[in-house]
Amino acid sequence: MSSFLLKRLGWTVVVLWGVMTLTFLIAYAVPGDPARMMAGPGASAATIASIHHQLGLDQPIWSQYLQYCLRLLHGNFGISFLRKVPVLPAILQRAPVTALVAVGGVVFELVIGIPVGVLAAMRPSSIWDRLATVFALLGLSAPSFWLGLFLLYYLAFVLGWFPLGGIGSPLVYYLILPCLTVGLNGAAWYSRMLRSTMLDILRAPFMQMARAKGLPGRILLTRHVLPNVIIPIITMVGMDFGYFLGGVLIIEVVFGLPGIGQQAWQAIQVLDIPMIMGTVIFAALAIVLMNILVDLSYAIFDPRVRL
Amino acid sequence: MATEPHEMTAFDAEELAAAEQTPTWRILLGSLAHNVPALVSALVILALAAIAILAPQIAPHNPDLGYLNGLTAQGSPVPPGPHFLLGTDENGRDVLSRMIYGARVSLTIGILANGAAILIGVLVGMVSAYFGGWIETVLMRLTDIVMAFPILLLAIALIAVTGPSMVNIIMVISLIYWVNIARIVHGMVLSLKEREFVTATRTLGVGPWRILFKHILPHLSSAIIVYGSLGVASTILLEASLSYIGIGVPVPTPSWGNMISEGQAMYQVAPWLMIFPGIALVVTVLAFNLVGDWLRDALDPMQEGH
Amino acid sequence: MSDFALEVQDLKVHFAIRGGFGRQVGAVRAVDGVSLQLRAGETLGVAGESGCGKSTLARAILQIVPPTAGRIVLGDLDVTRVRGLELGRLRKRLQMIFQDANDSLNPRVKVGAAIEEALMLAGVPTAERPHRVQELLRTVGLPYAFARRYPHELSGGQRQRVGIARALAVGPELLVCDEPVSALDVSVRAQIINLFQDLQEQLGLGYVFISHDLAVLRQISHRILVMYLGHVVEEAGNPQIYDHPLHPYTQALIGSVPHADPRVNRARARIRLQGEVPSPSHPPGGCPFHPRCPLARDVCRSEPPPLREAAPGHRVACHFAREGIWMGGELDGHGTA
Repeated sequence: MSSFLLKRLGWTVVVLWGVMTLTFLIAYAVPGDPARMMAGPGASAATIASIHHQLGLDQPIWSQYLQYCLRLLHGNFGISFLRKVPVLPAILQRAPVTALVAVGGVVFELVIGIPVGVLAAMRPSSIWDRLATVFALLGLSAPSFWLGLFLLYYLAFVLGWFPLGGIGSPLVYYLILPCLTVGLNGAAWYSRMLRSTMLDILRAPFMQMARAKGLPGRILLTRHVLPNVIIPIITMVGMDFGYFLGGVLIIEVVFGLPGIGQQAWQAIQVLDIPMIMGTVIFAALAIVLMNILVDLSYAIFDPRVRL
Repeated sequence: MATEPHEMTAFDAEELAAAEQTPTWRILLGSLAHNVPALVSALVILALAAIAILAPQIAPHNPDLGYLNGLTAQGSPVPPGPHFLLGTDENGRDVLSRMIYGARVSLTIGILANGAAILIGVLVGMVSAYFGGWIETVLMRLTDIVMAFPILLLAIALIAVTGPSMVNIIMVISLIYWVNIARIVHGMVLSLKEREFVTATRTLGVGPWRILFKHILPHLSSAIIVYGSLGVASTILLEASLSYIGIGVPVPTPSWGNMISEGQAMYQVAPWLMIFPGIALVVTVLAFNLVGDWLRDALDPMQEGH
Repeated sequence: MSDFALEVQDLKVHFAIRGGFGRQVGAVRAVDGVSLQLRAGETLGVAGESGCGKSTLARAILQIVPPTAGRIVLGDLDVTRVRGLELGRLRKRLQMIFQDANDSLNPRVKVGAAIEEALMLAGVPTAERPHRVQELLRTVGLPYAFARRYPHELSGGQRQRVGIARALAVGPELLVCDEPVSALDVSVRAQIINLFQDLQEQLGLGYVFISHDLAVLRQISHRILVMYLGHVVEEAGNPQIYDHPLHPYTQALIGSVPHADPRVNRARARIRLQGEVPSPSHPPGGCPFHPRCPLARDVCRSEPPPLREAAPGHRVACHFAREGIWMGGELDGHGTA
């Protein structure tokens, strides 16, 4: 394999290790006694002591750290305080809903963001460009949860076009508003990035050369602009994935969708640390995976990077 | 004895005339005058700052007090009217007063958290780029690791561990947001340290810390100013999201975020509870974004026009 | 121990070329065995085209780049690989003037502040500094009012004067000047060269003066060193090297400098060099100049010529230095050493 990919993979391993360590440190710093929290308020000292032993809390920190890493690598993310079930399976069970919202969000992000970005780049400083900028700025400045509530209120409550949250059948009906909200937020950022990337491409010397040759617009677009813009389009989806994921999770809370985010939110209300930490690790893994995919797509689409 | 004073040749005079420039702040103000959105935004920000500082003086009512006439006969919130300009919430508290105090919270957290993030980020970026070696590797890898986390979730986890309070929120947000600035500063300092004046200053024997703070840092001022503004937009949004989720500013202290989450339950009878704080957020964040963008455009060509 | 202010012995500066995984796969031999001597109060000019290693030589002397081999001796102090406090002491005695005064001064720092910083390093107490700044500015011919200005508010020549003032602030006895006038307008050049000479007279400074412009070196140098591809090819006193250059490369360089006497000009054969300077990472075997040399024979390709004394105070690195190719000029008194 090329040294590029090797380096990236080596990189990823280091980052994953860092994620594990950081989450361990955070979890370790929790004030209060997790054993007590697990046992409940009325537990006896003996029960707490035995839970201590079970959880390995009476061991030195480096030993706990090692066990923590081993457990993680085996897919054991701990047990939720709230529901007394293993964390990872609970997360995986809810993952499909979140994934649907995420995918739908990306679809809307691209469907709205690409045309807006491209149009703004093709006619810079025109009225379209101005409008696109306004759209982007508003989209970036509005908190996504408020946007969701707004849409929920007007399109679902006042106008009755969509259900008031939750999930049911047909799935699409229930998912349109949440995905649209996530997508709008993402499209705001995406359209701006795409606009500046396209402007760079359009102003590049090779484009001027192609125009000087007198090539018609269509060929310019398909043969010259498109191949160069494909890579940024794909990679930019991955770039703000971390932020995107956070948006998805909040939207689940707003619309009451039974996904990972709503579960995390419930965990937050009662400070269910294992569930919170498990969600954080899971999300970090998802982001790292996304970055790998982005790098792979570089390797596939960018002829300069040899696979 | 000295050599004769340098006499100006024709070339010298020309060069000198071309080189004299108007001071930075005058150029900035001139550009601001032509940029209506940025001008309005700057005024908005000033107004918000005034509101936040003068909150006790301008709030028409006590934000924590539930007024008897704040609830209708059925016990539901009063819509916007002459007495309560923006209506009341489910406890009979005046929305406008709460929003004014909420401005205080949001701005304080936003500005302080961003300021701290810039401090950390600039330091990390400068040190890692200038000293290189293992210091650079460790710091940049740390940056990558923090960037691997979804911002919101990491903030949630950290606050869950430390407990929600204004101080903790500021600390947590700054511990997350420094990475962006660190990356950018790192890149800038990497190229700056190759400049000849750095070599010359080092040859004179000036120590690395003095070079970093007295020679390199001034070149970073534009980036710092731009991020000072754009960053506040992000930190305000983050705090609002955290408060909305319930792990931000603790009730009863009003924050625009937690006002929205509290008002959400009553959206059918009192939609203004979630609409007004949201508008406040949009306007504030938009203002900081516009000012930040204007600063970025205005300061950029001037970077080394000097 | 030594009666030279600065002596460099067989200095080599090689930069490693790294392949994958950081292995060294080659070396750029920027400076490949250079020796020089400088007496106090004198100027040694270093000539050569770009890429010959003169800038690297300058930087190595000042420890800006680390020498790979050889010795650098300042008076009686071996300063070849000094660090820390010793490096600080070196830099108080030896300073550098850079080529592009625009970039060697920090655009965000006022001129007076830059000089004050150097004074601070020299241990001048705070109260005295403004006075010293004024003195230094006056020494280089600038009014005190300039202390408040930023570099971009000065002309090129004025900036270079500030650079000189700054270097002088730490009180060095030697200055290494790396093409200090090359970036200046011709009219300003003469003024700055005069300044250098005046300072040398007043303060007894020694200079290592690097320039690709032989006309400039002619004005200011007592001795001149000619470099090619990291080697010294000729070294002689100032009038001698112009009147009787022995190395073909030197002859080519000087041939391109117009002589004041038009008869000499007409009498000179123009030596045209073929080809380009080879890359310092793949130097030719034997004599480094042989691919371009009109005199090259077999021995030049296989054996590098040593630097030999061809006349008192005049050294050449060439197998056939005796055979001049001047038409009209005479090579008298130059036999074998």
